[in-house]
Amino acid sequence: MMDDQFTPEEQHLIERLRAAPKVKLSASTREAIRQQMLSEFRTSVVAAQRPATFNRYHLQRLIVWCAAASIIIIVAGLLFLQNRSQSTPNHEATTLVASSDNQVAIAVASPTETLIPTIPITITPAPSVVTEVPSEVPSTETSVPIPSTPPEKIVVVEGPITTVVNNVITIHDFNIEVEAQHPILNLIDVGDVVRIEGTIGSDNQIVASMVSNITSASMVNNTVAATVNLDGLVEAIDGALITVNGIQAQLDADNPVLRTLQVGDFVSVQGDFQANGATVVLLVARITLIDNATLPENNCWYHDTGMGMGHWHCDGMGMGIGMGMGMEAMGMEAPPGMGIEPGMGMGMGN
Amino acid sequence: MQLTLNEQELVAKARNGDEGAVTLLYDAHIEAVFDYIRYRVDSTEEAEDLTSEVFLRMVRGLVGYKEQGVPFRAWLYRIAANLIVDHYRRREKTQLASAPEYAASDEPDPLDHLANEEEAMHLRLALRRLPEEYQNLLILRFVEDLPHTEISKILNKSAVSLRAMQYRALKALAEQLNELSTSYNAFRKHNL
Repeated sequence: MMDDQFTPEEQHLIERLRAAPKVKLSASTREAIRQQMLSEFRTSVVAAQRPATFNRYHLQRLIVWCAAASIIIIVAGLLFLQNRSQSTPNHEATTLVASSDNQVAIAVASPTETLIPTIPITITPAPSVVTEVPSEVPSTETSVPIPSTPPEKIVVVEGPITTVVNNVITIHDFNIEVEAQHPILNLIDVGDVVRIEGTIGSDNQIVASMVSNITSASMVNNTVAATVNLDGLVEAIDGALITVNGIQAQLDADNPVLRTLQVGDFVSVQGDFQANGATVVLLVARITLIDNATLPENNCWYHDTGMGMGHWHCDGMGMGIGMGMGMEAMGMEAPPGMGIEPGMGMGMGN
Repeated sequence: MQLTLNEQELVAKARNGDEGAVTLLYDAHIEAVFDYIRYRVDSTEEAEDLTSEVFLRMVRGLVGYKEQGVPFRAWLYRIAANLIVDHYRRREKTQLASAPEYAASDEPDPLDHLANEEEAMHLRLALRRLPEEYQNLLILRFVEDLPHTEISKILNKSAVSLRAMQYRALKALAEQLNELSTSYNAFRKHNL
């Protein structure tokens, strides 16, 4: 701090400064300055407040719009993923296939993915033919849980190859399109018995998602008396002619099942294909109405082949749950790329 | 001196567009600002114009004003000091300083005034012949009675340098008053 000790001369000078009369600002001048200042205040400070409010308002609107846009994008993304998972053909999905006792495991993948078989392939032609349509049901009618929602139509065809033209295999008058680069095309030949799973394409041609060979022994044990196993939802009933997964199945007119059978029921049908004019009709030898009360909630169900073996089906809604179930049933670890592929779970189980 | 709580609130309100707050700030500081300027310029009219400009700049600068330990009044004095400098630059201060003291002033003839008015005029004339920082120091310290701490912040000087400056400023003022007195006596003798 400053030392205010002054000499007498300095003190006298300071007193003169302090005592000097001050010029007073006139009231009119003072008021004039005030008004001028307030006018400036209104145009500068007050005006400056308005843009601030304006900016805050726009910022709030921007935040709201961003949030809304984010929600829309997220919802659209989820819908897209959901639709994609529902509409993706099975043959495009990476599928792990574990064969039954035919010691063949072939993975059919998307064009960019081909899984290497884990077990050496052995082709053994078999004389008998078994054709399965949609998901499988044990021929011995063991408990078969069925999804509460209609599963995606999976066609399973087993039987001897009648023709092979490029990548189209014909089995029991069914043309089945196999991926052009599929290695099994180099191994199979006319007369070989193979098992094919796939979906029905837009041109009603089966598009294979899995191809494996089977042994004649397994065929015999699987087929029992019938040559075709067909599992699926009843889509239409016209007298004794029912439609299951797009396949017409002809029942005996006095079949007792017809009395209670309704559209939407899940049935397991065994029989033989028979030509009926221009169409092929499944002549039903046995039909079993599956109790819907046993349906699981995970959209997957297990098919018991009746030989203590079977596999899992999932309807493609689980986003990996189905595959996980399949892997679990197989006691295997899912290979890379499998976890995100929906609805193609399949495996072996007891 | 820090802003009092009330004054801080007034500044905050004024910044938010409160016209009443800015009016209170004006009333609180108009006299001091005018006094300061009046000591630094030649005429009352100039002082009024500059005082008005100080408060115009105050309201323009309110939005960006931040209380950083410098009193609000000190901020006003800084504005005033800058305006005075600009004012003299425009008027070519060097010519003004070399002009005859009484002719340069628009004050009425000192012979027609009372002794105290002559005294006030002498002091102002003497002050304006001092360096700017001396004028600021003497006016703020002894006319406006500001504490050393506030003057230190206004002038951006340390306490030690202010002490030395105060000593030199008083000494210079005494010399200027003596010169003016001699000149004034000669003027009166010549005109009477």
